[in-house]
Amino acid sequence: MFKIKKAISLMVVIAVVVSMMGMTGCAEKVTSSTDQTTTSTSNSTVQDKASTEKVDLRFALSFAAADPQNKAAEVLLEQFKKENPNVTIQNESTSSSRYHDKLKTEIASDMLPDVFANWGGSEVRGAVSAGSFLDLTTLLNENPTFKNDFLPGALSGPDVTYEDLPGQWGMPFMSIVTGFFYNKAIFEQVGVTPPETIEDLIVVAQKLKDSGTIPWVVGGKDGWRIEHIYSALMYKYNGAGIAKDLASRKVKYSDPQSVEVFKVIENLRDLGVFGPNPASVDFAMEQNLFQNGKTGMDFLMNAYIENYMGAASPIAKDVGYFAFPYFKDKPQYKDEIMGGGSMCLSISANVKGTNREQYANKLIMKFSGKAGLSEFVKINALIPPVKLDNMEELTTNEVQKQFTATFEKATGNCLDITLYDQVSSMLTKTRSVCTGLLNKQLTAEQAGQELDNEIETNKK
Amino acid sequence: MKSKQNFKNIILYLLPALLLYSIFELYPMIQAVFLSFYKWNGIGGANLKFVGFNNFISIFQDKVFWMSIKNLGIFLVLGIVSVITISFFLAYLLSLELKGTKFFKVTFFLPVVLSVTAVSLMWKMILDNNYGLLNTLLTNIGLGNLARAWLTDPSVCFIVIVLINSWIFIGYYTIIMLAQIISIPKEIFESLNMDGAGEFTTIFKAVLPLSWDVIGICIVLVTANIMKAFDLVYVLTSGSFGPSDINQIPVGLIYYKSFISDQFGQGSALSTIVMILGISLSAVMYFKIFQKADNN
Repeated sequence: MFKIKKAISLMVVIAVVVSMMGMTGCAEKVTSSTDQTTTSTSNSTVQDKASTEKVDLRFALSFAAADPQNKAAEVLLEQFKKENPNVTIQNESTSSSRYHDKLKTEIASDMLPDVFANWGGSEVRGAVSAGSFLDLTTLLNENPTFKNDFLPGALSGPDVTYEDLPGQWGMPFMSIVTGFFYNKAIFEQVGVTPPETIEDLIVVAQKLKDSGTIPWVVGGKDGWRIEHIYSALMYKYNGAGIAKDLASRKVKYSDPQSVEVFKVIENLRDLGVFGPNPASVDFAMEQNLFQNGKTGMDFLMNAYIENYMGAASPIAKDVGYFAFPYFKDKPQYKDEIMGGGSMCLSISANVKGTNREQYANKLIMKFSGKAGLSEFVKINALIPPVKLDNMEELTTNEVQKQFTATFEKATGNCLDITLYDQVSSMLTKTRSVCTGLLNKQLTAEQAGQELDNEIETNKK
Repeated sequence: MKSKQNFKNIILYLLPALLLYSIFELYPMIQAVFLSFYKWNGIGGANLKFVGFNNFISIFQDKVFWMSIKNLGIFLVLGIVSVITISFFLAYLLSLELKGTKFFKVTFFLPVVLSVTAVSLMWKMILDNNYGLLNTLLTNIGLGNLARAWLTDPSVCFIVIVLINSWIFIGYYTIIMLAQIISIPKEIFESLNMDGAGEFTTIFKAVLPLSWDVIGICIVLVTANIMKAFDLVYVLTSGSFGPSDINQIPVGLIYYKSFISDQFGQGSALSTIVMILGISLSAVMYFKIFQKADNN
């Protein structure tokens, strides 16, 4: 009896231990099967492309299911699946606010999707340098028509290349332009017109505020909202080249040309231009307030045209556009804008030599080629980095045309102020500091100093 | 012979738990301590660079670290006091077997079984500055001057977060303390009753001293729970632990250093500091409390 009990005890222990080893083994299972696939197909990568072998491809964009851009993505994915019936796409797209964390985690665990969106710059620089991204130079050279479709400069932008890391690390996908959406009905009611200068904007905002409307809604709780305003103001105050000067440390964030811009934000905040407690409003609420006519203007990107002017928007017919105002005493920077090559598509280096590589190449060309980008242009989701022959036909929306006109006449452009910075946390820190300024936790001088401190801390 | 056989059986039964603990707790802990002496950007395949104690020096020189420690202090004091006193009070009420006791037992315990993330999102909506339930209610009952940005106003936001954390876990400790209170022999209450002791005397002279062991364990558990609180603060602050780091806590800073700053070495150093702090605090509290219990 005792021996039976002992035997049962031993079997239970062995079963638990084996199952635990099985669980830890699972993490390697995918890798080992991929390795086997690599081994078995390494001699057959040059074989016919119309393979019937089942292939799973992981794909991720930074659009949530509810985002209008997702509709265009779904159309292209359906087309791809029809053209490649042996390929199963695992769509891991998620909203922009979650995507950055997801991307970071995947980089750290070497589990990047096969084809994925990113914004280049300091956020993924470490991953590029560690060899996690596939160099797309060969793909471009093997497809000259596809390569030549890109606008001049698009393939060498800071979102897809690095000066000290030779190679093509992404395909340009989306250019964005920022500007103001405004509610024409509210403006008419209050008797104001779109401002051209910052000084005019303050006057307009005061009148809107007196009428009981939030003049300029800002979802300050989501740091990127106020950081975009800071970036745009910096380019109007200093020119778009300030981003490179800050990254090269030629200029510090605590220098007068940066602190003055923080003071402008302080002034706008104190005048009530952003409404009460802007740091407690998130981006979803910001859009909600604009769509429900509670605010006169909203500084955003062309990618949100569909949100505000689509069929589901209650104010679709009342939405107008004006370019970001300039400083009266700085007319030389009037056409320096926040905009440019934004999101790009990259391929994980893990696909190299596997049967997924050719399909990843096809998918990236599908999305960043003329036909694919047309789908996004149709819904006013982006300014394409390629020259589309039927651009006039596709762009029927007047506001989209105005955004494009702003982009075309820009004398200088840059995206986020930290685009060129080598410290990977600068973007997050800048956003945090801007929200702190909005929330009256920091003064303009303290904001600049905090950013310089972040640079110092990361030097060590 | 039999005790030797029993010992072998004990080892066999303990082996799976020991293995799990070693693989998933002990090994990562040792690896984190090891990494705290290196500079690493967290990317697989990237080189590790030995930097000695530089990571620790950087952490101690970081203003945000000291803010997180200050917040942790507030979290611990306010969290322990609120959880223990309210749990004890509720446990005592439940022990009186009043009408509706079963219903209230379930109600108090409900937040514990819900996902912390889901509860955090719920509170985020309730406390929304513009359209949240709380501010709307205050405005409607004529107390609009009390309405504020609960999650971003620097004077109250962190306290609000602490109280939400307490609200979630009070039920759990109530049940633990209830089990202790109802195990106190009824004769003690009867004799106190016969001597004319009131409720307060009964609680402070009998119930509290006899429950001190369990209260001590609850304090240690609350401390451990607070030391590792992350998801609640992350969700309520939309991942920023702000505005401007105002709600930063040590575990949040570990996340920031590792996944935002790509400084896994500093993140690991911070993890080591938090581990030492947690062990020290728990040990001090536990022995102090048990010393008091023994004296009682």
